[in-house]
Amino acid sequence: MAAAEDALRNAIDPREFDAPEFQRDPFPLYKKLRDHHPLYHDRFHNRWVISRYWDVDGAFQDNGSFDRAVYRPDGEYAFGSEHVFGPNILEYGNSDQHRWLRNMVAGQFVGNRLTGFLPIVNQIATELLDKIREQGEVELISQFTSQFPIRVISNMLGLPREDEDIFVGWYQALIAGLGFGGEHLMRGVAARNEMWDYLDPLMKERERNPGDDLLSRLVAAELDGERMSPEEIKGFVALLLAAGGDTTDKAIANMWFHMLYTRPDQLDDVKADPELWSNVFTEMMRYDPVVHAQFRHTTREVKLHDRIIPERAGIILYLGAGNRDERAFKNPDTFDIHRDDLHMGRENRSGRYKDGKPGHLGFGIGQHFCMGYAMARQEAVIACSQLAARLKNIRPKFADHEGISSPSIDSGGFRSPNELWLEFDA
Amino acid sequence: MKLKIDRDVCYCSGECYYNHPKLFKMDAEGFPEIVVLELTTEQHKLEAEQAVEVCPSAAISVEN
Amino acid sequence: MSATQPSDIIYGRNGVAITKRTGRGGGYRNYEVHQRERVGESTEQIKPLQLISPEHLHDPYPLLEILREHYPFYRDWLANAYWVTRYNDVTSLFADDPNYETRSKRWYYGIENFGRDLREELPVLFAQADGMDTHAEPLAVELASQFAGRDGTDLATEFAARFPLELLTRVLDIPRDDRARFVERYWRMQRGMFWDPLAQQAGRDAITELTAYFEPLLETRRSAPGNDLVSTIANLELDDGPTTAADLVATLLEGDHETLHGGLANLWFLLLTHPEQLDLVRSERRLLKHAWFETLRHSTPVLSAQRFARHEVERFGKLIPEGALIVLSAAAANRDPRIFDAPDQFRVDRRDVCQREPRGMYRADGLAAGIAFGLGRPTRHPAVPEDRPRSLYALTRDAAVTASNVMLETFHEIRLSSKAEPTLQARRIWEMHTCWKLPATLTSS
Repeated sequence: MAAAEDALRNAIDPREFDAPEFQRDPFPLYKKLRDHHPLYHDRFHNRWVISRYWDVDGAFQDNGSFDRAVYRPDGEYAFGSEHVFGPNILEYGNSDQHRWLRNMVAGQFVGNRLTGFLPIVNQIATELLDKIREQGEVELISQFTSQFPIRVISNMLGLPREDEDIFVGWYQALIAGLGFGGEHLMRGVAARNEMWDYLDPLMKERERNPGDDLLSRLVAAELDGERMSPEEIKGFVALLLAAGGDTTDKAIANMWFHMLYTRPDQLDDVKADPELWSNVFTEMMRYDPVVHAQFRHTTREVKLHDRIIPERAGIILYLGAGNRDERAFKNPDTFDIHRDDLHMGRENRSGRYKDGKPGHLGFGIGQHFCMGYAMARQEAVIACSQLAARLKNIRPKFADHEGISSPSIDSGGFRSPNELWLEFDA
Repeated sequence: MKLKIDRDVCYCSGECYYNHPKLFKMDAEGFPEIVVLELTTEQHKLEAEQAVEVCPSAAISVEN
Repeated sequence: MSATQPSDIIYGRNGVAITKRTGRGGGYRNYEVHQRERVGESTEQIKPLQLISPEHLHDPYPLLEILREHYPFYRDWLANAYWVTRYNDVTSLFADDPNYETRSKRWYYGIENFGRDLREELPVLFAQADGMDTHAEPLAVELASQFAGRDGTDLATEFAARFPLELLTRVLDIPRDDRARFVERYWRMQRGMFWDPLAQQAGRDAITELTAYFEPLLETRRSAPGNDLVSTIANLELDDGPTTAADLVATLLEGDHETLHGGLANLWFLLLTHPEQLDLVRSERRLLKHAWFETLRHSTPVLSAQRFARHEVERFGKLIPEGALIVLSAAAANRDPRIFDAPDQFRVDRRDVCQREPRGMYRADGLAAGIAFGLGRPTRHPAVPEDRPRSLYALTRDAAVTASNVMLETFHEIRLSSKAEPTLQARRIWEMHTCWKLPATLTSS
């Protein structure tokens, strides 16, 4: 019976989500999900999977049905003084508290504030490239991308430049320690503790003598007559390093990967017109973003695709799958910086654009849209344009590359190449 | 007092309706729709001022 | 900057200090609890990927020991589950129906609305008990007679795997010519529960075939009942309508055969690989029952059971979300050094395992029992012995002991075949951990 055979061919074994094949190349499973199981109940992993573009968008927009908090926002328990990591906006659901904390800090990463930091961004790129440009070759990740965003953030915070290498060390331990798997957690926690010990006197100093830096602003920031507690500020700094550093570092690597291996023909276009780095960033965020999934819980029964998701069910929203949905983009599996069906340039939190085109889902949408989106974009574009401008005749060192993959999934699902070697004329 | 939105300047960032869901909601195209037509309470007025600040394209204003 | 004043500390319901926060709505608790859970313990010693590795399927006990000793309530983010591994914690959650839901096998299969599970109906319990008690010994004698005179017998496939399903055919009184087909279909139905879409489809087909097979049989036995389980089910009077073949098949699906199959295989694996224990049992036959209990403790075939939190609840110093999947590891609990002395040793004469049917929290006479999930909780039916059918725990024990005793009587020598290297193995994740190949030489008495 053809129908039964079809059903079998399109059936999903939920254990596939844990397999190395999925980490290397999730896109075939994404397609199966979108086409045959747009709402998939994964009984193995005890959650529901949403994969189509407009369903992911819908879930992000529907704060009444989908909440980010793992626990009931209206629950009885109120834990307090023993927090280990410090307050962190990422774990908040849809609440006034979330909006308060977000509004306190979001403004620091957009508009005039961001523009004010761009000279530093350029300077750091220049300094890193100065070290590289005589080498004739470079391993981009260890020598450039993993150094770049952390130095930007530490400068934004107004931390002394001479201590930058120490911050890089903390950052790397934090990333290893704060990954989803909790691997090496104690080392990450130790690094974070050292960092906080370092910040404590600085924060007191900045309260007495405020400067123009981000740390001073966080210390002084007030909304509705309240300020962030020291714990909240320190927690936010740790978050900044993890969410703002690691992701941007990987974004830059991904952009170069695509220019060297996926569409080297388009690298010529970009070299001729460096404004196109903005398109490279956008198309990278659509084609294979750094973050592929976000998690939610339903706060009530939700009807989707003729089924009912129960209350307090775990949901996984696959941004990486939505971005490849033919229902939103033509030839979605083609990487093309000139595509005309994707909104290019600065993203909107709403996911809606006056040009009527859909945007990519890589930053999420709505209430919890990435706060650092403008900064990430600017940093990545500046880093890539400077690199392209200052290193001549950039080409891949190796003809083949294993491709983008998630790192060991024990460390979380951020996607990027493990290594990326470039050659250039020194 | 009333809120007003300049549609030509607005580019659908969404900051108003995500930060102030009591005052605005998103319409089908992504533009904000004003929910509270008359700003009567102090809380409304305070939030309205914040909304004016938060709009990245300065498309929101408050009129009497 | 805000500082925490002593007057700002209040104590929550669970005795944990709470910093009072005024004026701000919810959300704070979510993050803190989540972080305490995530960061409060180092999980350097284990990574979730290891829990689905071939090594773990082969021998789960090393990783379970790490969990039990270091992370007694472990967040396995890969499986999106929480592992409970200490004996007292496992037994306490296992019996805690108000807070933790058991989902049926049909739920895992995706056929929640198929049929009614009739296992708790008194007539069914009596019929099953009568059936198993009546047929266990004759069936064992029949099987043993087939082994006599052979060069060798694989006790795993010929004995342990066959006995439970053949016994079921007798309990159901399946006509002789239909038995082989029934066994094949039943096996296929049970295998289909585990994730592989091909196996699932084959399982669904088996369910359809079994339902079609039982329809006429059910009708025949409705009007002319015998002593068997099919007749009993056919003549059950239920509030919500007469019984159907779907009910019968659902009941068979929900029933457990793995404990008897895996238990027998593991029992004989352990006895043959510990010949001095086998000699002990031969010389003191009453120890055969003890050997069964010790097998269920030392090498339980059904390694774990799953529960789902009905509400958000705080336990183990953490907040368990509503709907969370919790893995109760019998295998880990059964080797808990807090409960059992030298837990990794297989000793049929050990004194610290309960030898009577456990009640309540799995203790009787103050002794802990080896946890074997397939055998259900103590019956909720009347406590007066005459009115109460024998429990599945006792039935399974007696069937296993009877069958094994027949083997000991029929063959005065049972040894591992010379080149045999038997091993315990779970072939796929969540499947039972048992011996699939146990070549033995049997010398008749």
